[in-house]
Parts: sequence; C-alpha cells; structure tokens
Amino acid sequence: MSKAVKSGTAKPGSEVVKQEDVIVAILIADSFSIRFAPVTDLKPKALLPLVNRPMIDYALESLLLSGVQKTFVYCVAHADQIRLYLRESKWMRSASPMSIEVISQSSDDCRSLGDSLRDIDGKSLIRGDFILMSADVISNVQLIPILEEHREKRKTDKGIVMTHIFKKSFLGHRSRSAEEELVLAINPTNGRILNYQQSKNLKKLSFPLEMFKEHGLVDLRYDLVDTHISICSPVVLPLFSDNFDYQTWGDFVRGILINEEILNNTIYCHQLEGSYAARVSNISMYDAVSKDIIQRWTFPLVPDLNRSEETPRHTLSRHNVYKQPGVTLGKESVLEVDVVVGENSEIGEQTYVTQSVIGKRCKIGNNVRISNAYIWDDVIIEDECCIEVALIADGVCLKKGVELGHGCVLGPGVKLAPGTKIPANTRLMASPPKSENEFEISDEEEENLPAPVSADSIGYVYHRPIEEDSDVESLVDELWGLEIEDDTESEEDDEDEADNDEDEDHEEDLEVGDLPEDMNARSFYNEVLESLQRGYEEKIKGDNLVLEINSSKYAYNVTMKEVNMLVIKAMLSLPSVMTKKGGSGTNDDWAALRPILQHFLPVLRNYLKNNQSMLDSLEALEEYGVNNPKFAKITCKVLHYLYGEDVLHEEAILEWHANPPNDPSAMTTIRKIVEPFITWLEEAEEESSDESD
Amino acid sequence: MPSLESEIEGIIETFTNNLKQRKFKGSRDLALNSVQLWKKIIGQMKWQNARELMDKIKEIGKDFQETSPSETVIGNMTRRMLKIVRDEYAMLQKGKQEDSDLQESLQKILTADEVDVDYSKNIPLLKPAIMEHIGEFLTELESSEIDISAQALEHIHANEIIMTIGYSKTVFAFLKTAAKDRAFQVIVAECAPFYHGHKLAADLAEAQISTTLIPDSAIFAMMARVNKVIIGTHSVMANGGLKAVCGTHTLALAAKHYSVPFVVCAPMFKLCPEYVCSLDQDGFNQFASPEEVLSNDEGMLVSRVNVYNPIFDYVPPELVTLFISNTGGNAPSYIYRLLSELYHSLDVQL
Repeated sequence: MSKAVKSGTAKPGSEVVKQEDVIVAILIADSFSIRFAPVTDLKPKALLPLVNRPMIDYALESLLLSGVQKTFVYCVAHADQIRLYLRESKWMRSASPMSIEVISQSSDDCRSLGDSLRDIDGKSLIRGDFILMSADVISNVQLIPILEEHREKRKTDKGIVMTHIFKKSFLGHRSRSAEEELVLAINPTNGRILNYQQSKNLKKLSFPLEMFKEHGLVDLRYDLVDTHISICSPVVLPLFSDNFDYQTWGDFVRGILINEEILNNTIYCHQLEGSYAARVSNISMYDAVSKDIIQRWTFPLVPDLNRSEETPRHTLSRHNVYKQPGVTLGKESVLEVDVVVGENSEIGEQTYVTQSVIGKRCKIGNNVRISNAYIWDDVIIEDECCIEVALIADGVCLKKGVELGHGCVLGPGVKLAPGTKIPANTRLMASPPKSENEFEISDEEEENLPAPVSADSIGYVYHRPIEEDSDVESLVDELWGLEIEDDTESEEDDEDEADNDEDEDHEEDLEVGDLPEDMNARSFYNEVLESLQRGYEEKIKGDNLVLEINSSKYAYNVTMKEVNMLVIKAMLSLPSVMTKKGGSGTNDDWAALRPILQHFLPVLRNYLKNNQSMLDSLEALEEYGVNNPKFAKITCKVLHYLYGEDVLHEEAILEWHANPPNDPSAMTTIRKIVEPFITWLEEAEEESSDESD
Repeated sequence: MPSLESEIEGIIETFTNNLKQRKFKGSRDLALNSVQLWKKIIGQMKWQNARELMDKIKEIGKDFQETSPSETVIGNMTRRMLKIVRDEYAMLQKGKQEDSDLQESLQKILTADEVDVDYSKNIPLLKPAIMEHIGEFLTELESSEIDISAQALEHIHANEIIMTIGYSKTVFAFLKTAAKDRAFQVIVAECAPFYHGHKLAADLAEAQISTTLIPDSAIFAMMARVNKVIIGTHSVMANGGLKAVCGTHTLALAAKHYSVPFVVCAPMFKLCPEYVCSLDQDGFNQFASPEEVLSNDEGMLVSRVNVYNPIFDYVPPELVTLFISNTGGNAPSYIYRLLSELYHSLDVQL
C-alpha cells in the first residue's frame, strides 16, 4: 500500500519534484547505421517489429519496469514517425508513471551518438545522473540498484563519469555480435575500466605497461558484451561537447582513459548477474534477440505478458508457441517450436512453421515451409513457398512456389512472381535503387538500370553503399543463418578469420611498438590520408603537401621509417577511400591509382631519397599487398611505374627482393606476382652491364 | 476507459505497473492491495446503479487479469467485489436479510436463475453498504493468516516430522505457531531452481525449530519417515486441485505412495472458480526466464538447447488430503460448495 502511494506522489507532470530525485533516462532512437537497409528506408529502426512489437516498446518497458520516471527520446531519422507513434501509444498517456518527452535533432547533421549527446547537452535538459540507452536495446535489468551503485562509488571516487553495463557471454554465444567484439581491462576490486579495445579479429593486443604497474590486479576480459546501457554522471554531456571527435561510446571511453591523468575521470564497469540485455545492432542480432525473447530469456518482456489496448496478449502454449487472438490454422499444419503468430493471421493446410515469427493479418497458403523467418505484418505467402532464414517486411507478397535462399531480406512492398527463386543473402526492395554513385547515370546507359529479379515481380536487388569497415559487414551478413548450419561452414569461417588474423598481426608487429606510438601512428596515418585526399582533389602542389605531412609528423612524433611507410600506404589506399568502393577489375584499380601516383610523384621523390627509404616504401607496398589481395594483382604495375619514374631505384628493388619478407605469406603472394618484373630488371641489368663491358 | 476520471485511471495504472514489476510480496499482499484498490475505485467512481457498477468492475477486472494472467487472486477479488455488490443490492432491495447462502441447497445452486434480478434501480444506500462490506472483507483478509495458524495445534503433534516445499508465508506462520507449544521437526525441500526453500529453512531455524533442508531429489527417500506434509499453494482450482509451486506434484505423489497426509494451507481468497481443462491452458502456468536453470552466459549451449522453466505444477485433487482455510478444514470434494458461497455463478466467467 505504501508503495502505491509512493509511486503515486512521484508521478511526473508534477514538476515540483526535485530534479535530482527524478530518475531520468535518455533513449537514443537511432543506431546511426544502415545495417537494416533497405527495410529502414521508410521506417525508423526503433519502430521495426521485434516479435510483433515495436522495438522501442521493449526499451521503454524496461525503463518503466526499472522505475525510471522521465525519459527523453531523442530521434534522428524519421523523427515524425516515432513522435506520432509515441503520441498514440500508451506511453504518452497522462496516467503513465513514466513521462516521456520526444526530442528531435535540432540540426540535420546528427550522424552519431556523439552528435546527439552534444545536441542534448545544448538543450540543457539534464542536471542529475541519467541512464543512457539505445532504443534497440532489450533488457530486463533493474537499473536503479546500478544507479545507486554508481552514486555510492562517487563517494569514494569523485571523478566517476560513467558506469557501463556489460553482460557476460562466452564465445559462441548467439548474442555476441561479431561487430562488437571487445577486450576490457578491469580492476577487479572496484570494477574500474582500465583499458578498452575493440578486438574484431585481432589475435594480438597491446596494453600499456603502466596499467599493470599502477594496479596490482588487472582482469583482462574477452567474455563481456556491451549492452549499450550506461549510467552517466551529468558531466558526460559536457565532455562530449568539449570533444568534437567523440563519435561513439568507444571514442568516449578511449578519450577518458587517455586523458585520465589530466582530468581524473574514471569509468566503471557493471557486470550483469542473471539478467538479460542485448542490442539489436544488426540482422543477425535481430535473429538472436528474437529467439531470446521467444525462449523467454527476457522475462518479463515476453509476448504473453506484453499487452496494450491496441495489441492483445499472446497466449502461450507448449514448445513456446505464441498466438494472438484470431489466428486460424489449416488442417494438418504444424507450428513446431518457438513460433509466434500475430493477430488474425491465417495459415493454410499442411503448412509447417518452426522457429519463426509471423506478424498480423498475414495470409499463408497451403504446403508452405517456413523456418527461421521473421515475417512482419500483412504479408501474403501463397502455396508451396519455401522460406528459410529470411526477414520479410510489411506488405510483401510471395506468389505460388517462391523460394528464398538463406539470409534474404525483403523490403516492404516487394512482390515476387510465381516460381521465383532468390539466391542466398539477397536484399530486395520494392523500388529501383536510387543511384548513389552519380557517374553511373551520367554514363547514359539506360539499359544498365536495374531490372526486377524476375518478370512480373516488384523487387530490385539492393546494394549497400560500402562503408569503411566493409569487411566486418560482409562477415556479419554471412554469419546470419550460420548457426543452424553444421560445422562445415563455420570451419570455413574460422579459416577466414585465421587468415585475417595473420594479416592484422603482421600489421601490428610492424606498425606499433607499444600502445601510445600505435595511437600516434594511426592518427598520423589518418591525417596523411586526409591531406593526400584533399591534395589530390584540390590539386595542391607537392611541396605544400610535403610541408603538411612533415608538420603532422612532428605533431604525432613518428619515426622517418613510419612516415615513409605510411605515406605510401595512404597513397595506395586513396582510390578505394575516394570512391568508397573497392575496384573490381585489375585495370580499374590501376586506372584509378595511376593518376594519383602521377600527381604525388613530387611528394614521393621528396621522401624516397636514399636506399633505406626506398626499402621502407617497398616494405610498405608489400605489406599493403598482403592485406589487400586486390591490390596485390597490380603490384607489378605499380613497381614498374615507380621504377620508370625513377622514384624507386633498381638497386633498392633488387635488395628488397633479395631479403626474405617479414611475413612468410608474402613469399607466395606478392613475391610471386612481382617475379616477372624482377627477372626483367635483372635481365636489363645484365644487358646494360654487358653493354658497358 | 475514457469514461473514468483521470484520477482513477492513475491509481489503476500504478497498480498494473506494480503488478508488472512484481512488487507484491505473495498473494495475500496482492489480495489486500487489490481489494484496497477496488475500495478506492468503487468509492470514487461515478455510478448510477448496481448494473453500471458491475459492468465497470468487470471491465477493469478483465484488464487486470490480462496484465497478469496467471495471478488467479486478481480474478478472485474481482468476483468477490461483484458478489458483494450483488449481495448488498439484494439485501437492500428486499429490505431484509436474504436467506443466507449457507442454507441454499445443492438443487437451488444448480438451478439458480437470477437473470431476472433487475440491478438498474438507483438505491442511495447501496454505496455505503458496499463500502462497509468491503471493509469487513479486508479485515477478513488481514486476519486470514492468523486464523489459519490458530488451527496449527490441531494438526501438528509432538515429535512429528513435517515436510514442506518452497517458501509459503502461511506455512511459516503455521509452523511457528505450533512450535510455541510443541517440539517437532521440519524437512524442507529446497524447490529448485528458485530455491525458496533455503529461505524458509533459514527462517525456521531462526525460530528455533529443528529443520533439515533437502534437495528435491531426496523427497521420496525422506517421505517414509514423514508424518505429515504441510504446504502452501498459489491457488486452489474449482475441483480442489492445486496450482502450486513447481515440484509440488512430486511431493504429493511421494506422500500418496507412503499414505502420508497431504495438508494444504490455503486462505479462502485463493479459491478459484476455474477448472484446469488442459495443462496447456492459457494463463494456468507461467514460464519464467530459463536463466535460473541454465545461465545465459553458456555460449554454445544456449543457442542449441530449449530450456523451459515453469513456475507452477498442477496437483490433482485426489492427492490432497485436507485443505486448511481461515474458516476451518475442508476436504477437496467440498471446494465446489465453498466456491458457490464465495462467488456468484454468473461471475465465474468474467
């Protein structure tokens, strides 16, 4: 009884309540990524259904269940839709014990978590500690005790800025996202985060020695998964405002750790015990989290307990089969295990459904087989279709006998003609893709306009713009649906990974001694890359560029050897960075690279003056080739060109070739490729010596 | 519910949220809170006559039930409220005490047809009468635990060995009361995976009762020496079957095997007029997170194994020897009769 009274008085709306006493959360309703494209083209990710319920509902519900009293929902993309949805929903009703305020971005250039927090800071809404969470997080964590723990720690450590929540998941757990593998160094006595690194596929990481000197005990953890929930002190927002380069949470943590001695700020880690939290960061995580919800790890956020006036409760029957009212099931059709069927959906005869979610008002014909599929609302699937591991958005229509390969994603409104077969890992959308690379259109090749996947279908293949971390992306794509495969494929995957690891190891060995230098070298590289790119685009003179690069060199305190190597690497990677598109054919690559090299010849000549510097650059070439198989193919041409332009001297090339490579794998790749050029050189030398004789 | 004033809406919302957050400790707490809530709602809501009031109670009650489908107590309390409204209305209507339900014959219950009762008359005295009745009912609820434990000495004798499972506040009070006068031993089954038995064992030990904690697997082995099994239950179904914490069925079968009396402490508000038609019945059982059974950390395993963690067991009435309610002891076969006194036949389907 007393409880009821208590939460009654704490009811929001009464602004009399002191700000510090109100528990505030910020929900970022955007993930700043295009992992869900093309589905998210028209609908914000926060409103995508996850087990028949908009994702944002789970986040709000978990905040409500934690006892949060005020939530700011910060919207970026499709803000109007989120606002409209929330206004209509039960969340905005006056009687709700948690009040919600929707904030849209104030300028159009909000592209990251950092930008949005800077924006929120500008609005000065928050004065006390707050909970920061992403709208695509599903959790049943009780946040208040963690908030109290955070406040308790402040008594002993004034500099505490954040308690970040992690969940323990061992390798091979489905909710470990390949994109977000991380390694943490923690002080086990108080949970302070000492070092944070994203590991991705690295096999070797370096930690500063001071860390071990300063702290008697250090835990190195690879079994933690970032939940994207943090308890923040109010100082977090100004910190983001002060540091414009903080884009992500990772940037923030790194920044705090680097400036630790100056600002004395600390970040703590909280490990979840027995509760669930995960973020739907990409489609394979969508799959994993959906399964976790269906198998009730997220209890009490499960379909049979979630209800509102608009959406009735699901009833739960044996083997985790959830049904909303009005579901009709044809004769001899089977809902095997872990199946959710939405309101008023019809399933035909002899249809088999397992481990799938079917939305509202769907019509599924006879003899259909559906497994591991996520089917949203108003989807029509006609007889004899076969769907395995797929995501099918609203209003899709599959005519008779359509077959979808593993891991397909069909955007809203796609219609597929009878008998269409879609290869694995295809993403389809209902309208022809807008040409993002303008030159393709200017080539006036109208025939080149993409055709639908088959006659009478509305469905166009979607190609995502390639991002910088494209290799990670492709890995994630491939991963989706792998779980159900047997070991053969995962072995392949392991091999791939192993290869990558080797490459990266190699890079690490050469580039970095210990951590601070590594950071410097990396920032230097980025700076050089930027200078070069601008230099090329704006046709800046070589001398000026040299000046610029030299000043960066001093700024980051890198050795001459590193300068030589990194400048070469930056130049070589310029074409791919500039087009944002890895070239496909050998000729294209060379065609793209050649003018760049030509432009930068003065720069190269400036740096490659003596034998040692040339050796360095050759080493860099080799390294780059090993890491970029595409480039390896044109190494010979690059060498020839540089030799022809007298940037690299014959003696240097031969000396380089005579020495064994640092990386044994280079022997078989790069060295083999350049073999003809070397022989040509040697022959030329012999000839010339003959002549002189 | 747009017709309701926002204040009532606020109270209701708070209640449903507390329900969702599982803030109520045990079913008696829940029953008390929900009756207090009803008292507020009925007191503050505007209604013209009994019919309107009953419709509103039904509407809100359904909503509560949907929020937490497996909590039968909520539905029971809603039915109780309807019954109170009906009783008070009938009494005021006739101006005299109606034949007490207790004197109704089986024949009369089965053929009772009250559809012709007109609830639409406006009776000004109805509201205070209902409020008073609810007040009485609240006192009954509050004292139910004491009333049950007062009977402890009739059931527990010196040097007996009692077995129980999990944690039930009623059973704890029952045993504690008996321990004041008699020395006996208690064996507590720990009740995995929630291990509420651990807490009971600790509490009993603190109350100076000789206690043994055993794993659930040892129930059968220990049963041979047990004199009586005394347990609590989540609710009692209409046929006298139990909806009790998972593991109770095992205990009941073991007790049956050794013909050990199986006594269930259940206050009247736990009596539920619903039957169990199938174990898959919606809202009968509840499945918690598998976390307690298998930690979510366990990488590969979690993706490949389906784990179910049901909270309740159904125990058929033939395994129950005796119910001890706040009004006295009853056999399972008598539950239907108690139900007919507690709830009106028209309210069984909300």
